[in-house]
Amino acid sequence: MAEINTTILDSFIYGQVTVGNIVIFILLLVVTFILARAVSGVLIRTLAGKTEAKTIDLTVKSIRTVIYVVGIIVACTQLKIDLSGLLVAGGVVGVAVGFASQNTLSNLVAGILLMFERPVNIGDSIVVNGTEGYVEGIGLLSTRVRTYSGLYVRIPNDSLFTSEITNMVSNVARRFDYNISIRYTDDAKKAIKATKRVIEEHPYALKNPSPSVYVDNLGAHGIELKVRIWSPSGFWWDARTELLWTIFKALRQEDIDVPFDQLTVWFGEEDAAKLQSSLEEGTDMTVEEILGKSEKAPENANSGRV
Amino acid sequence: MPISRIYTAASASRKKQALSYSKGESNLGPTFTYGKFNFDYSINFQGLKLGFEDKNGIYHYKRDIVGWKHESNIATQTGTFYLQPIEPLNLPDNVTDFIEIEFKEITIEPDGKAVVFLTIPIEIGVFLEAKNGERNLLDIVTFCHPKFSLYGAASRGVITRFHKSEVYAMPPSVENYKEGLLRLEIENDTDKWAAVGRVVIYQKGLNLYYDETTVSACAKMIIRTRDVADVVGIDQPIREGMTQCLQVFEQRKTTPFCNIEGALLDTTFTMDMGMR
Repeated sequence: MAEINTTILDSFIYGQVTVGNIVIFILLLVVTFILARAVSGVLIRTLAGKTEAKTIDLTVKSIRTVIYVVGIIVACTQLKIDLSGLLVAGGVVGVAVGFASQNTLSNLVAGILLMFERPVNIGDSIVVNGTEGYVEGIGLLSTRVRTYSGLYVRIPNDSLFTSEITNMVSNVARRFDYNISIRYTDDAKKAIKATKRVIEEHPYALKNPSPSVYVDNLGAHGIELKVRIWSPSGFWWDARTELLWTIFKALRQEDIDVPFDQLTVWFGEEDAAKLQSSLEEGTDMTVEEILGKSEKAPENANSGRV
Repeated sequence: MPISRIYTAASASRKKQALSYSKGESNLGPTFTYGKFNFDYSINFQGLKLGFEDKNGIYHYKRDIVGWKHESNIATQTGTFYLQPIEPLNLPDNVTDFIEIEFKEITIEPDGKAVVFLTIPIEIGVFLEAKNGERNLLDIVTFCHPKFSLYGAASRGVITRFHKSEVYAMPPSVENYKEGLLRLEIENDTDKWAAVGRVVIYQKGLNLYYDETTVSACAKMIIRTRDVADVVGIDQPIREGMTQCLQVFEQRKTTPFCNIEGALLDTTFTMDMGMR
């Protein structure tokens, strides 16, 4: 029985092509079809949500076509069709097209790599090469960005891939800071308490990590407070724009104010008079201590006598 | 009359179980009445003014809660509307899918189990309903002050709707327009003592129920290791006769809880970044 089957498979249909060749040809086509379907399915699942639907469609169709072409070429060898001429011609055309479209191919490869690496997603707020805005679409060749002022910017994928990308919303939360100055006559502890109270009331100022408010520097014109607040990445700008004014109003309510830049000019006579009066009142302090403890410290004074 | 527990099912299996805690009487002042109403409705309750005016066949909806106003026109002949407690994830914006409740730490013995009651914030949804049963969300109000937090690290954690609660062994009286009760069953599946001070719940799995005095939900927390626990909402009220609330919440389709088509697969959230 096996012998009869072998005989049937070995029987020639035309030229050197046997029934067996036809069977293998059909099997290869079926395998090609199944492989193309499977790869398409995997690609759709992998790329879904990472890029635009039409880009996914184009990518899947392109890869499916390549699989079909390769499958058909391999299957054709069973029909004793000589494709060497076609392959050579295809190779030459391929090299020519490759040279001509070097940049395009580079962008294409970068686009595919971006889809897998996913440094940015549609809707993300990013900064690339000085361009700030929202990602509107990630295509095979380029990425579209809408700047905060509403301008359309097309960034070639090759450029995007090799650039430093700052993704503002990649992490779920981010921190923003304020520097707030208060007068030396104000109570920093009271200011910190009032600031913390305002932050606590704002919904987008996260409970954890807890906000931090502290005296950061004793500046030339006032006490400098540093305020550090964590917020959900998608809402940090809302919080940032609302909170500063609210903090300012709360500080004003506590009679705490922002210092104006000021320059105290000391005259030698005044210095001497104050010193004399302090000494007359009877004190154990040195001249330096008296002057150093004064709010109008001589370090701020214009040393040039007028 | 203090609220008393008539029956507990602490020793029952993980399957949906019958629970019953008596209603008692709230000693916290007036309770808000949830339910289905006609368009001749109007209320002035704890600073919330809400009502409809008939203006020649068009109903004019007006709401004012401490100066926060909303108005809308509704064209209907046969419609009704619902006032129902809803999940606290909509105001001031739909920021997150998770609710986090912080409470005083509970230490549970190896292979032990505890049933506690926590408070959860709620929002109030105003739903329109047509004669054919089609519903539409008209408005959301809240008496709670929303606050958000981060559970875990900024790179792989989740933003949560934060709430701080006391721990109760029995259902306490709460203001049913501000807060609901969460019955949390905690199971320590480890052979060591475990301490729990917070719970993070994926809100889609948490179904709210209400009756005349109480809004409630149930959830279960299973401690897997000292720092890891699974938390899942259980679809059951804390006592019989409660009505299930409508859900407003739509989960994000890219969460790990959904498949590629966006269908919800599981609502268990694994707290793998600590429980204290």
